[in-house]
Amino acid sequence: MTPTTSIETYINLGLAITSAGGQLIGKLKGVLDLIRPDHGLTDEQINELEQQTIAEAQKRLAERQSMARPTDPAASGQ
Amino acid sequence: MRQAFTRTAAIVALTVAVACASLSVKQQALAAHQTAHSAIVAIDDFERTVCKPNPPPADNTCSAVPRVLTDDQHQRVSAAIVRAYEADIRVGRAIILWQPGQPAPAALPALQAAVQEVETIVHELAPGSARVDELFARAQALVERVRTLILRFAGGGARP
Repeated sequence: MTPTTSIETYINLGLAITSAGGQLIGKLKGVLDLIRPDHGLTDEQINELEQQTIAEAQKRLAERQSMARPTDPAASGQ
Repeated sequence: MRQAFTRTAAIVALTVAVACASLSVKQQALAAHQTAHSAIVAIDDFERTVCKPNPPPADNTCSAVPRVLTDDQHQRVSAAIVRAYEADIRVGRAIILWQPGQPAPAALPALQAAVQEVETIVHELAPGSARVDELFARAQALVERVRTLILRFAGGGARP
């Protein structure tokens, strides 16, 4: 192994360790964001999410109501 | 090494459990309701792919070939899904007003009855088709998620 190769090896190793360390810190930050005590929602945020759910349910309800109609025998020729 | 990993995993699991337990009862009710709502949407969407409803105003009939659902079954499933959405909306409105210690939303039994009706109708379909099996699996998941929602109120509703 020439001295140049050895230096490149150490540089590459250093870069790999830095990259892995950065990824690990990023993952740990994600976990901490998930489990931190203030992850809870306020009543206002809960109500806002419920309003969004209700709005979607109302839209889908309107679509489904026409599908629930019994077939008109006269219209279908039965 | 292995013991260290096991210990770390146990600590992470405990921390997550404590964090989840620290969420308010109302937020847990919200999460359970959102999960149940998503299950209604999932079976709504999948039934449409199985039936391929004709465009309105004839969307009470199916166009899929081969036929998996009859028009009557499509209409009955639709009627049950309508009742599920109606109850879903009432449950959502009740959760907005609901506070820990209050009784569970009065619309929960109607929601449960509607999703059980969906499951019953789907159960009547001729088995053997992968799509019918998938539809039934989604119906069962829906029933289970509504049951979880009801248990959320039964288990935590009485305590602040």
